[in-house]
Amino acid sequence: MLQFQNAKIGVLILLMILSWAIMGIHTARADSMSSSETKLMFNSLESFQVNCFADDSDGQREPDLAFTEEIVKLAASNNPEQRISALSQLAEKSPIDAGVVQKVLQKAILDKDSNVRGQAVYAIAQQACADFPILLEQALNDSELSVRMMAVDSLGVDEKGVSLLEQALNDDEEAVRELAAMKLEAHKSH
Amino acid sequence: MKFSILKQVAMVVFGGLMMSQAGSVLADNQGGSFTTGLAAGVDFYQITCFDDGNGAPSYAEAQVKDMTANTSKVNILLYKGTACTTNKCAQSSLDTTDSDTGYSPLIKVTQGAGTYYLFVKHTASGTDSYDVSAHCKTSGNVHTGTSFISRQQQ
Repeated sequence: MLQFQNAKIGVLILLMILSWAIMGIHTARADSMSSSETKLMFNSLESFQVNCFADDSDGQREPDLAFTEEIVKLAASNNPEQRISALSQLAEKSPIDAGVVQKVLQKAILDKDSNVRGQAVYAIAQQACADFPILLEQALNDSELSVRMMAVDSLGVDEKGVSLLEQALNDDEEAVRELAAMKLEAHKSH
Repeated sequence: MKFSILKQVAMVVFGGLMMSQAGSVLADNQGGSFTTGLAAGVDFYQITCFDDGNGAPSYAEAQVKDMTANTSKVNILLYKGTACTTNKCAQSSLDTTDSDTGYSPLIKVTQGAGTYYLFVKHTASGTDSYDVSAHCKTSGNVHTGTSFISRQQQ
């Protein structure tokens, strides 16, 4: 009888520990969800059509099949860090087919993760894809800090770029204002 | 009989919980990001070097991978102690190429067992994310006890 009582107490303790562990996981998930749900989020790039079929007159290298395969695999990953890694590597002229770049970037600007979209903005600007100044202007109005930061980072200091940098001086986020001010300051000092 | 089954169940549950905790504390890689985007952001970690049975720690080594391609580059400063004449107390390393999957140059601070301080900074405003790899090693370069604790995230 005593042994049975002890066994019951043991089972109860185990059940309590397991329920605490499960509650902990749920609480953590709820916290991360509530912080993202309270903000009004929108993707300013939804309607943008990427056109990165740059001419190859600059002697771009032949596509590297292994590298292309690696980028496509990373870009299709469920892990946002891996998708960002693919886009980071596309921020430079790479030995990869223009059609593949086009597809990867088009998908990336619709990504649900704002850090991925931000990295896509930077890659499109670095690749000097057609209409990228329009993309940057749209990205400056994105709800997400990481997208706006990458847009400001990508802006040039031509007349249009300076005008958009001045516009960014009025952004809600201090980091965006700081980056825009730094770029304008650097431009004025040259 | 019932008691013995219960004991086994308890051992499996507690064993699992202990292993999951140890995994998160003793990992030698630490991912992070500068979520505020401000240039002055500093992330701060403590790395504790201890003898896990592989030998007494002699030094800590670290390097960082900037995982976000942009103007801003990520760098680290590893620091311990104040007796800096024989061995350096602080070393820094910058990942100058953030459009690849490589890490910055490896740095070493040889100040024995105990707590090392690791600061992660970036060179300009930007929403940088990074991965720091750090290991404590013995004088014979054998990996020994290493634990990461995050103290500040900006």
